Amino acid sequence: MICYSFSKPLYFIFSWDVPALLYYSHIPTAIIAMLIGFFVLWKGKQFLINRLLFAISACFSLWVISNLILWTNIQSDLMLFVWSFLRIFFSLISILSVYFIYVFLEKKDVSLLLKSIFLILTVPIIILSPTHLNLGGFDITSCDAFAFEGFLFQFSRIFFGVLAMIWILILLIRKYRTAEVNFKKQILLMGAGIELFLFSFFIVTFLAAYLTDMGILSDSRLEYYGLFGMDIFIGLLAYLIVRYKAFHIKLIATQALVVALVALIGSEFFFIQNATNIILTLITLLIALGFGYMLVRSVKLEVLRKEELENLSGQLATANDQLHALDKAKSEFISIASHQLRTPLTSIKGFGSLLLEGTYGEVPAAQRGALEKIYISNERLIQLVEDLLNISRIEAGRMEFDFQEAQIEDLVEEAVMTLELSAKAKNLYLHWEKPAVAMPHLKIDITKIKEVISNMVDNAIKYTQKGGITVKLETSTVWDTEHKEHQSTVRVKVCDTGIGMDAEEIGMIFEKFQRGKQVSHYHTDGTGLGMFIGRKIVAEHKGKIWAESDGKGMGSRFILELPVEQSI
Amino acid sequence: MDVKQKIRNHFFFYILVTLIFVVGVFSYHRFMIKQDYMVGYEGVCDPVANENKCFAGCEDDDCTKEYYYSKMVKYAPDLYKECGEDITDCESANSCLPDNRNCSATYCDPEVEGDTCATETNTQDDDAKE
Repeated sequence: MICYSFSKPLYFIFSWDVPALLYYSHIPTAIIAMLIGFFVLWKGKQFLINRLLFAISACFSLWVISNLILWTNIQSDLMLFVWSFLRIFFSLISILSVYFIYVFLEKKDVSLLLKSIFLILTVPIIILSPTHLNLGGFDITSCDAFAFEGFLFQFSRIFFGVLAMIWILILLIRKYRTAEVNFKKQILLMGAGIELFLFSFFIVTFLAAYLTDMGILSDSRLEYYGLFGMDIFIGLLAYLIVRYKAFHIKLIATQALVVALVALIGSEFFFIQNATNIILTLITLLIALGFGYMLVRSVKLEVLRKEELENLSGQLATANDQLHALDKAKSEFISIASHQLRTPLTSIKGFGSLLLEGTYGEVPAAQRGALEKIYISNERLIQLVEDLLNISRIEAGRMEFDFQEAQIEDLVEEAVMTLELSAKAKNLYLHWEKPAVAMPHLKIDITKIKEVISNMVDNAIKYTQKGGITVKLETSTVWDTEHKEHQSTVRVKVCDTGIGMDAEEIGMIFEKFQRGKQVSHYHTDGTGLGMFIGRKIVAEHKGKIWAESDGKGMGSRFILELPVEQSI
Repeated sequence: MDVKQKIRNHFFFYILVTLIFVVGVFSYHRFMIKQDYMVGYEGVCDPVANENKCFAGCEDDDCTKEYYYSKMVKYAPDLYKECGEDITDCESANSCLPDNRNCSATYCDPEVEGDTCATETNTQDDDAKE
């Protein structure tokens, strides 16, 4: 049967009997919703939330297309066939919206029980849709089936709409209360989008049908406006995608924006009548297409670059972690190995000392020389092991300091006295210029600072061939950049007339395992660890240690500076 | 993921898609092939012959001209057999025939609120205009 009051449509959907607004509200909305759905699915079909958004978009688009067919066609059997699907799409849109929001909020699939509830709600509507309970007939005068719709199905439309809106609202409020600040914003945006969409879609279409059925409205064209809610929903989704990288996609919002723009401009062709406007709209459409293409391309490039940077950054972070792990393993290895080495060395030292002292009987002169060499070599080994242990302690952050009040002159004096014999053995002088006025008290780790001073003097003796070494103390005031104030310091200066250093050597002698150039000619058994450890110890005292030299062969000055702030 | 797990995870979608497909086939068979539905329309009504029982409707927005009708409901296959696709100018469509199933013709009742019935006055006016 055909609706005798209306004309047959052109190309299935174009009819002169309907207002142009119908095409403006239906075609762009259906296309945009479908494109969004496909884009989201294409970009992440493994994610449930993407599949759900696709399902909602597909159902909505199918509803809009069905609705368009119903508005423009006049064949009663075809229209009833299409009409029978409207309730199915209605129920699916509402239930899928609840499902979608649940997954968005909880980041996981719903329980089996909830899925079963969804099915219990939708299956009866689907199964009964081809029966008389849904549609009994068709009015070919008004060309609709409102008068022949079953009550239960009429009721189901508002039931599903209200149920979905309330259900979603409860889910949103419950999650909003416990969510983090950032997620709260996302909940608000998504909640506003989907609730507006459902409200405009269900309530407006219901009102349009209800008022038409009551005879208050001549037809249900009010429902056109209900479809614009989907555009708001899409807009908020696009914002969520861009702002919060929702749905695991980045480009989609730009692409959707361009498509929406083109679709909206293109749909103006349904309205315009005169040739001038057609040409102007065509030009606008072409410009929008051109700029849209460039925009999508530039965003794509930017996203690619950002992804590359993120990848590189990730690789660097991994490499850094591996390096840290390796460094830690190395320090642990040194620590364990050093401990194991120190035990037999201590034993050798003890028994060597007893032998030299004659505890086990007089040692023949020929053997004594060899025994002394063993003893000295063992001492060097003990020092090396001690240095390695110190490094592993420093690097593991396990070096312990025992800060005590001390008089720096005493420490310097002890170090000088200990090394006096070594200097004498090389025919070097070792002058200790003790200050006439007592230095301020310092709060230092006495053993460690004494070790640093001894190391400075010992190095000076090692690398001086003639002349000698002068050790002196002085007070100074420096500008503390951290506390923005002047600070009193005590300096220990060790000046020698030795081989001297160039600028390059000065820069590297405080690094780990670094020694001055050609120093092995003068002294072969150095490890390059002494000054490195010294610098670390001094740094823990908030002090400084550095070297100065006027050049090769012109001697060196090693200066240790400790802040008086440490004193009590 | 094995097949059982996949079905368990996606049974919601599988059930819905299968059902919609099956229901679509049923729907197509009912409406497009069997045409198992009633058709409502405005049958031509002669107010003189039907003694003011015809509904009166306007042919345009300003109601410069009225037409008269009865509310007819007929089973689609019966109507199709009598008139074909288009009921315009089909005399049989304006009344229920003995072999029609569930056919009904509703006439205007002035006591029912909202019904606009043809009266002698307006039918005479229309005749005068013609």
